Amino acid sequence: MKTKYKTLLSVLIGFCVVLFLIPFYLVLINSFKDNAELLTNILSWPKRFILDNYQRAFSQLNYTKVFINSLIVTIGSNAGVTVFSAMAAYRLERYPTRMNKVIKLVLLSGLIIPFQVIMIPLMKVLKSIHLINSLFGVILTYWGMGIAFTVFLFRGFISSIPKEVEEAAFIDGSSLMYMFWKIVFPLLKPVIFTAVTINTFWFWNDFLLPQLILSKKELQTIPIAINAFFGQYVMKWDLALPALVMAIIPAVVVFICFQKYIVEGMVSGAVKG
Amino acid sequence: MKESRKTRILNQTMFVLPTVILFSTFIIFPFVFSFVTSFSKWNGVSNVFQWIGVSNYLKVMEDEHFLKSFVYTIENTAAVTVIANIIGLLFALILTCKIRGSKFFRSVLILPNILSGIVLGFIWKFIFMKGLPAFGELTGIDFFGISWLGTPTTAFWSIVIVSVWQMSGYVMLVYITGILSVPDNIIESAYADGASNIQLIKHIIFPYLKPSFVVCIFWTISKNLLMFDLPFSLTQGGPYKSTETLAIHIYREAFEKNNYGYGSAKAMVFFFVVILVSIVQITLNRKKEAD
Repeated sequence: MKTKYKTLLSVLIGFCVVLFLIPFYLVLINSFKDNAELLTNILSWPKRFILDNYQRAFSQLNYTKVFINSLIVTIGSNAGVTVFSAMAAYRLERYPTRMNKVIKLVLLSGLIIPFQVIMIPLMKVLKSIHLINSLFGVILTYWGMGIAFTVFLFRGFISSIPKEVEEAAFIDGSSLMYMFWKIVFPLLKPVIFTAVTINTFWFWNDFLLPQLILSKKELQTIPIAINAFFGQYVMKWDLALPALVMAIIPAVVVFICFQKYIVEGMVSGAVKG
Repeated sequence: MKESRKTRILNQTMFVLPTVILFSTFIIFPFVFSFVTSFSKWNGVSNVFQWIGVSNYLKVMEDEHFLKSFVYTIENTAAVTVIANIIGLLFALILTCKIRGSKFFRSVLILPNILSGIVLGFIWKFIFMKGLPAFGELTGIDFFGISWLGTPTTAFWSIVIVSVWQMSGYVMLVYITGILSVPDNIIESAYADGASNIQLIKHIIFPYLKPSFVVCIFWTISKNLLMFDLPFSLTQGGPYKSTETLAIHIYREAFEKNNYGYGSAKAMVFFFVVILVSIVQITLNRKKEAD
């Protein structure tokens, strides 16, 4: 576009960006204030920085534990979803038998089933296989729920890989499994990155599923713990705000470090998905 | 690639069976089960199903709270979809003008989208309860000091504000990608022909953005129809259940009141709405491909 109004537009977008950041800013500066200052002095810079808030929130929240739980769920879920989806997508795409076409169709239609529609019986299923109050139960459920979307993301990519590469490997007499891991899987790298980016934010931020499965305190993930924390310390902002900052930090740090890739992943996921 | 019968069965089992088992156990089976229980009276604990036909569905249609929650979900979805898309599109148009710092601006605007809805709700709880009233005192403008989460109307708009804050950045990303796909030489020749900025946007950029509009609009619609986390933490569905989304409503029916059969019927009605939206989306996509 023409550049006549560039300065005006810069000022406008700058203003919006500031508006977007203000909530984070207010939570951050107030997380260092004591209760008395929180009552009288919300908008200004803290008179002195009180780190004691953080210490108390850190131990009350059991932060190390919930952070590790979130990490286990995110990594475990990603590993399974990626491996199973890649294998299934490869087979379904390269061997379009009638059975595989039906499977593809069923997976596709499963994409539109929202979680709230299946959550009631899902809890029964998990109970009957003794996976309530288990991190593995959460991971396993994410495998089931994440596969359909990820298979479709992979399928389009696999169809663009030339078959010749694989055929050459077959002539050498290697098995399908060996060939898949040796040749096809490494080629999937870009689309695996997209899938992992999208799924990571889902697994890390999701609330309802882990909330239903994990009721024991020592198993809570970050969103569950934050929700319980706010229920327990209603309006005790000197504890709640530092806890909130600690819940925000991991995602923000990851976002800042991998910004370029994350943005790419989010866009390609939206356009293909 | 030819396979003997034995290898075919072996390969099919290793590659596809895990997916089939996981998908059937965690999606298909619960879905069918949910459908079946919606015709029964069941508390989720006992093994006795009392079949009551469609009476759960008839009850849903007359359930005041359900209808209220239904209307609220639709109103909220409509408001957020319109506002988030307008703002996201404006951001995208501005940030593709090659202004300085646009990469940084873009990142800040997506930031709310990468956080959990639960966390966003609590951040804004602080802003609405403490931040805005303090700002109102400072500036003497009473408007900021209103009880944001205390009345149905203000709570409605509070949730719209936070949702727009959360979603417009993502929508902006998709629009930016769409705008950047317009070939430079088309834009240059439009300017050479004396087109104004407005004409350029209307006649050149918008036609290119058609697929982006479909993606963004349906993304915001489905996000908002399924919304749970944000109102759950920000307002708990209140005041007076005025911001109780369908997702929260169904959750409470099943897990707080233990009406599994009735809850399943509500979930099925909810599913029907989601299906309708998906059908419209698929039809639009087909049309787009045919064009």
